[in-house]
Amino acid sequence: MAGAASPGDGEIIVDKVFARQNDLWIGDQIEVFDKVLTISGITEKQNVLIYSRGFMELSEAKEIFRDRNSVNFILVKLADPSQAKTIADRLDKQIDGISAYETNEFAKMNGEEITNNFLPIILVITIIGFLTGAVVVGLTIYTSTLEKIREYGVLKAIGATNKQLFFIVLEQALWFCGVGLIAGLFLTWIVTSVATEVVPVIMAEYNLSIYMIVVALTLLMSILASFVPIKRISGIDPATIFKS
Amino acid sequence: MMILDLHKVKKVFGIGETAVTAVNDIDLEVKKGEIVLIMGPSGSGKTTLLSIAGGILHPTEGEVKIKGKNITRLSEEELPKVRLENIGFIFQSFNLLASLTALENVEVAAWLGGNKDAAKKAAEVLSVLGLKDRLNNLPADLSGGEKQRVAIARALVNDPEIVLADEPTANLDSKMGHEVVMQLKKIAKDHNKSVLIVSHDNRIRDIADRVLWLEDGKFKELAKMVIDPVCGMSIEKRDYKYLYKDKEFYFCSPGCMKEFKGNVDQYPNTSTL
Ligand SMILES: Nc1ncnc2c1ncn2[C@@H]1O[C@H](COP(=O)(O)OP(=O)(O)O)[C@@H](O)[C@H]1O
Ligand SMILES: [Mg+2]
Repeated sequence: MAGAASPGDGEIIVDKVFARQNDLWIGDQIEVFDKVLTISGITEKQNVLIYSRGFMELSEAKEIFRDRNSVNFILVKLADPSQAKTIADRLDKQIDGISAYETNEFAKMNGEEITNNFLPIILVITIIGFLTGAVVVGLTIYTSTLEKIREYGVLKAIGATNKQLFFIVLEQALWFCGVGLIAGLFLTWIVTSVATEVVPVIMAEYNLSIYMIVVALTLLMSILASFVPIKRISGIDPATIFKS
Repeated sequence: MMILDLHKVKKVFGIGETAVTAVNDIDLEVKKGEIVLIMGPSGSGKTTLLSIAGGILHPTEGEVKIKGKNITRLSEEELPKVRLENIGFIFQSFNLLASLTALENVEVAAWLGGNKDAAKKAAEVLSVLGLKDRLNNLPADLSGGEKQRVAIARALVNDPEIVLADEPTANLDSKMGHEVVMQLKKIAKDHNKSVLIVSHDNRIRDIADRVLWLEDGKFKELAKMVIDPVCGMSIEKRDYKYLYKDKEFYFCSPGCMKEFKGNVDQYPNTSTL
């Protein structure tokens, strides 16, 4: 957050992404419908993926949006914040055609907006990514196992059980996925750094639980991939090893 | 108690008209510390017999006992443990894992055998076999003789009762082959392990306590065997016979006989097996 915390007369506070997208900074002027406003502040996290928000004084907003049939939010600052709930309820009842919310409630609704609109898309992308990854790892493990099928046969001849051979394959899949995981995280870091610079709407956020999920999915991928060549391995006849 | 005991073992590959009887009614007993050599022409069933003795192949008929335990009807899930604990395998083509070092090749066998200190044990066995300086070499960087010694180390690392070797010197030159033969002798005499070797190699006869001749899946009388003076192969006194200075010479093929007749002076002797 930079500049003023709340807008004064003829001023507007816009969000960072909006500012970057339009190459604006504090002191610049923008035209909102017919009125020219000066940017007095930039907020950090108001852009909910595709919606931009600007903050301005109520009088100004009234003037701008007077005859327009558009949805607007009015931010009400209370002298006594502890009264928020009561006041919100009262506003809700007394004025027709509006809904009043507390800050927390409002934030939650915003969150739900994201969850409902974008999470399914991201989830589908994640599933496709996971399946693609599993297929690639599975095929790689399968071909590398086939290449070494005689060596697996040798181990079987000297006394390895199918279970032990499975763990050898699993170990290789884990190595493979581990290297892939590190490369993937590094790549993600590069891509998001570049992308947030180049495409301002993109914002990246990570937290521990996301990493845990990625690691867990990678593990799952390794295990699934190890099952791909298992039939080939258990089908090896160790007697073929004597044939040179 | 016999370490290895084969009783009326028979193996038939395929069915109907294309069926091949590779091993036919074989009885064989191997004592502790004994070296038994099985010789015979190619296709006579040597490898098949060895695979059955090692619990790698199920016989069609007959019984296989290792240390008195009947393994004939054990399942594919039970046999690996029997092989791991009782049998060391040595192959003609070494069969080392190409991407593992000498040490790792032996270590993996020790690991399979449940050795907690697999790497240490592997290094020990390799050192005894004179490979102390080659532990970290890949098979590609080892000579044939060294490769076979790594394979011997792998066969010995789990302290088996019996070592089975299929043509262990066939891919080696004569000096390296001799080294390997001496190692096999050591295994039996110094470590008191039974050694069953299948081979064409006549030099192995010197170390063997017993030599058996396998032909068409059956043991034959050894007295009838002679060595082809040209190619050195052990053969039966049979078709290609040539009398020279009152001495009988036998050959594996008309080619060898022709070669002999052309250069008689170069081949002064033939020995009866
Ligand atoms: N898996 C198999 N399927 C069919 N025939 C086989 C198989 N293995 C060996 N044979 C046949 O059994 C006979 C003995 O083979 P083998 O034991 O390899 O002989 P050797 O090791 O003495 O050369 C040969 O005729 C061979 O063709
Ligand atoms: Mg053979």
